[in-house]
Amino acid sequence: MKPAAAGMDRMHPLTPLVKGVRSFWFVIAAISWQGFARLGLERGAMIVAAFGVLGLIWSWIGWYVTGYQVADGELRIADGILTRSRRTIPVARLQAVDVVRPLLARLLGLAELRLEVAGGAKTEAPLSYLTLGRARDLRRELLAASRPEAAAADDGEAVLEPVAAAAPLVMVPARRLLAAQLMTPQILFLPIAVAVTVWLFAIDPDLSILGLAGMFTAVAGILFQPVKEAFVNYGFTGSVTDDGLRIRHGLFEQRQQTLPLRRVTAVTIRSPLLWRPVGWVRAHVASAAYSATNAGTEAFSGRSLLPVGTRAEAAVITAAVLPGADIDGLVYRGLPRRARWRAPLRWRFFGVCLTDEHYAVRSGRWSPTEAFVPYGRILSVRVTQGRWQRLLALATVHVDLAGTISVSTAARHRPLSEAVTLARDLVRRSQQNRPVPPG
Amino acid sequence: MEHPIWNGRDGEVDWRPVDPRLVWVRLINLALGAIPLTVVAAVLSTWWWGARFGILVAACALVLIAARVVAIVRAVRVWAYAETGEHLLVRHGIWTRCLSIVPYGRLQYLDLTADPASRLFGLTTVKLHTAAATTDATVPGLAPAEATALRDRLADVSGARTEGL
Repeated sequence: MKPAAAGMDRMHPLTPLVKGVRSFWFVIAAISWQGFARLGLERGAMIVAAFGVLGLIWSWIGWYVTGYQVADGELRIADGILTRSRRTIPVARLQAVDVVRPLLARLLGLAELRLEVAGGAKTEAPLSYLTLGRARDLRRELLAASRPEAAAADDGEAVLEPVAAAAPLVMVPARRLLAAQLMTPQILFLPIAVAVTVWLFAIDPDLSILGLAGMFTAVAGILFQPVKEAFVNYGFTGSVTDDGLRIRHGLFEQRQQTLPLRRVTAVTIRSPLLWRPVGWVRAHVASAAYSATNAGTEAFSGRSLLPVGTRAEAAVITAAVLPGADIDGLVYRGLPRRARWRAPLRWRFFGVCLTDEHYAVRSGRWSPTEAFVPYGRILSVRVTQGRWQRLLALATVHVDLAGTISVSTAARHRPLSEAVTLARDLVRRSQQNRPVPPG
Repeated sequence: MEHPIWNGRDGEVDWRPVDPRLVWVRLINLALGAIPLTVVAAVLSTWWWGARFGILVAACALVLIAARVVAIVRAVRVWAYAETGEHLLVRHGIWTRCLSIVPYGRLQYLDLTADPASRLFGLTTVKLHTAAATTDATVPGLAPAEATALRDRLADVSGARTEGL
């Protein structure tokens, strides 16, 4: 066992405590109530305490050997108790920086710094835990160093200007968050499901005891989801600072995400059917940082640009994230009548629009979705034509982007000649709006 | 060619077809997979349900294989790629047609692969990767000299104008 390498900083000394407590809960969960009942409270408590102490010691060793350092435009992290590892992350490749503060860390004034790099299946380099001030300084330092201008400057020494505290562009009230979560299909079908189970119970009480128990679990599970969403997105505010898009949310575990604007690959806006009477929409932002694998888990909320809001709010935040984008000032080009043979219900709702800086595409009858893609982020373009499309002389233009996006960016069922022209146009514009090469 | 609109205006794009011997590569791979399967299915169904059934199963399998052979021949004939000053074009597919346009600057890496059947004919498959997982640009059936030349040209031009994401 070696201490952290020379010249490296350690995490905050209270780190092992926060991490050790986590293992404490694992032990309690592992023993479970049954285990406690069998062992007796005293012995159970002793076992938990013993494992807790072991966990603390292990965490302490982990802390002792972990070090980090920012130098020469790189972030270096050394860790590992048995298998030593040293990671080097070029700061220029940085996609996004999140500051995450779980409840316990918050009580102690600590924060975790997560760095997202392109293509990483998971968060590449969590630095846990630092004091909040240190985490913020480091975030600013890393984001400043990741700018293309900074990389071009002498010996990679980034100039640190104080970041202006921008006024939030959008804020989501907690009540709206909860109301929106209740307006989902699962919740609306809940009374029906309960009624059916109760009815079955009335017919044959013997058979349905199991069903009743199952129902309670299912109801709890269904109700848990909106409550969790409301907790996660509690106090959602979005603003744009010099560092990029900054989003903060969370009741117990607070998150602050910073995404440099030049990393944004697309903004999508969706109006779910059940929200349409009140005019609420949901907006997401796509970037190479939040890839497919973490979209399914915790970072799902990380891609949220606006969990629920009015269209006007969506317009404001979209215009801030994609400068020059005016989501209500677009004139979408529709499909010819013959497309109704391919998409009889939806053909009227497909549309594309090319503005000076963005490609916009719209689709969907019941839950209309729109996607906005800056030309410079288009990586490749494909034109496909299926058998039915060929009979109607239609074709679909696919736009390939880095990262995963929940909404299709394909322009579907365009007339063939238009599709080919569109594809060439998109490729040409993507070349003209090429981002500055890093380094 | 049968779909002129994909070829661009006034022959501005110089399509290069893939090697016709790719048909044989694909047929060998098909034979390796389908023939043992057909034999096993025919033998088993003869054993379980009688000779008439075995012949029926074998006939059905042969029809499917024949359809696949026709598809292979036609698919290889339309598979082509073209290099322009700024990007690489790949077109393929007979049932669902597909035209991929990949700007050189977006290239992340190239894969050169050759399965055993391809190696018999000395053919190589070049697959282009960008930072987007959905990019689909594969050029199968290239003679090794052509494949390495393509690789070097692509590496050259993309190196000159790399921006990756």
